[in-house]
Amino acid sequence: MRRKGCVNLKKHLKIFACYFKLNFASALEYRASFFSQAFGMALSNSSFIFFWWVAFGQIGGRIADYTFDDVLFIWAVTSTGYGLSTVVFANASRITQLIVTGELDTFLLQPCNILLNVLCARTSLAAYGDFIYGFVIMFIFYAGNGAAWLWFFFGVVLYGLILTAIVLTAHTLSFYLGDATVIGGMATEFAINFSLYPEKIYAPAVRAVMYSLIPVAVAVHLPLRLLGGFSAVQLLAAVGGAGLYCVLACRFFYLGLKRYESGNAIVTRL
Amino acid sequence: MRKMRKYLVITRVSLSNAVAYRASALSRFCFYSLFIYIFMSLWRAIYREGSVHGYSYVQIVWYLIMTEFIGFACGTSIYNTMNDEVKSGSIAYQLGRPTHYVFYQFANSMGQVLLNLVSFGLLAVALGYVFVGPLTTFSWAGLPLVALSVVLSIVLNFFVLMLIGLSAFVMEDNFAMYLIYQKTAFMLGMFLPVEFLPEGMQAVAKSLPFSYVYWAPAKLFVDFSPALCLELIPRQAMWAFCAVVATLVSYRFCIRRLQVNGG
Repeated sequence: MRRKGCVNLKKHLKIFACYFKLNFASALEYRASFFSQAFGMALSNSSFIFFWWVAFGQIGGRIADYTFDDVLFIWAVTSTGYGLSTVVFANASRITQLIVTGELDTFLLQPCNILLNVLCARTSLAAYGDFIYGFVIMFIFYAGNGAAWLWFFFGVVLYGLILTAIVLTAHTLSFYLGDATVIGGMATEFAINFSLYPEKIYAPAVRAVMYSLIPVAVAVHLPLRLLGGFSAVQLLAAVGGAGLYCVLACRFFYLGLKRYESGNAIVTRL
Repeated sequence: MRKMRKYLVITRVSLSNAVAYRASALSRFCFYSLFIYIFMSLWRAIYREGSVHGYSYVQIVWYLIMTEFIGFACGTSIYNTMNDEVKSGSIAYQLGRPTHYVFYQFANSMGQVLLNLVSFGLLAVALGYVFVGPLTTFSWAGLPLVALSVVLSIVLNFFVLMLIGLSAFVMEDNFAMYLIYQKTAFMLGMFLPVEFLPEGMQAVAKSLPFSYVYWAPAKLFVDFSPALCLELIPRQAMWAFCAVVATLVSYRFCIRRLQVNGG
C-alpha cells in the first residue's frame, strides 16, 4: 500500500515537472513577450516601494509598528509567493471558466490526479517578474541576513500554497453557485492586498479574516514575527493552519466536482 | 456639426450598452471600496505617527477617493481594445466605417465613462462621508472648474493609452510600456500627492504629463483656489492637446504599416 502511494507520488511529481518544463519552454518561445511582461511586472512592483519610501520619509519612524525594512520583507514574500503560485498553478484562476464552458471534461479523462492536472496546466508570463522581484529585494536589503532568508523561503512556500488554495476555493464555488468569476477575483484581490500592508492598519474584524477565511497573514506577517523572535508554537500554528486550509480546499474541490455535469464539449489542448 | 452628430450617436449607443450590462460594474464597485478602505486605514496609521505636511487626514482620504474615482470611473480599456484589434487584425473592420478610427474609439469609450462618472461618483461621495465625513475645504463655486479638470484628465489619459495601444503596430508586446505609464502616473499623483515627493522630484513631476492625470484634479478638489486653477488647468489642457496631436500623427504613421489580406 505504501509502495503504491510512493509510486503515485513519483508519478505526480513527474507530471508536475513536465508541466513546468513545458510551460517554461512555451514562455521562452515568445521571448520578447516573456521578458517584456516579466520586466514590466517587476517595475510595477517597484512603484509601490517608491510609495513606501516616500511615506516613511514623511514620518521618519514606524508605520503601524512596521519599519521600512519590515514592509520590504512582506513585499518580498508576497511578490515571490504570488509569483510561485501563478507560475506553477496559474490555471487556478481559470477554474470557473473551465467549469462554465465544460472544458473541465478534458482533464477528467486523463489518467492522473485531476486537481494537479488542472492547476498546473498553465503558467503566467508576467508572474516570473513577480517571482524574481522578491529575490531582488532580499538581495538588496537582507543579503547577509541568514535568518531573514530562511523565513523568506518559509513564507514564500506557504504563501504560494495558501494563495492557490484561496483562489481554488473561490472558483470551486462555481460548482455550487454558477459563474464565480467575481468571487474569484475578489478573493484574489483581498488575499494580495491583505498581505502587502502592515496588519495593524486593519480593524480587528478584518485581521480575524486575514488569519481564518483568507489566511494570508499566516504566510506573510507570521514569518516576519518569527524573524523578530522565534516561537515554536507560532511556527507549528503556521504550518498546521496552512496545511489544514490546503487540505480543506482540495476536499471542497472534489466535493464540488461531484456536482459537475459534462457539457459534451469537444476541446483540443495544444 | 453633422460629423459631430455621428460621434454623439456612437456615444449614445455605447452608453445604452453600458447601461444594459451594468451588473458587470458590481465587482469594480467592490474593488474601488476595498482600495479606499485599505488606503484610508493606511493613512490613518501614518497620521497616527505624525502629521504630514500640507494635507489634513480628511483631505488626504478625499484626495485618494478622487484619484481612485478618476482611475476607476474615467479610465478606459482602450489600450486592450487597440492591442486586440491590431494583433487579431480586426482593426480592418473598424477602418471600413465612415468615421475616423481614433475619434470613433474615443466616442465609443465615452458611453461607459459617462455611466461610471455617475455611478462611481455617488459611491465615492458615500464612501467619503462614511469613512471621514464631509470635506470642509470643498468649494461649490469651484466645482465647474474641478469638473473641467476631470474632463481634461480623461482626455489626456485616453489619448496616452491610445498612443501606447498604437505601439502594437511596431512592437510584439507593449505591456511593459503600459505598465510604465500606469505606474508612473500612480507614483506621481494617484497614491501620493506631488507635494509629498522630495523637493527635487516635485519640479520634475510637475513638468511631466503624468501628474496631470490624477494629481491636478484631486488637488483642485480638496484644496480649491482660483490661483491653483490658473496654474493647473492650462497645463492640463496643453498636455491633453499634445496627447491628441501625438496620437493622430502616430495613427497616420502606423496605419501605413497595416497590411490587410482578404479571406
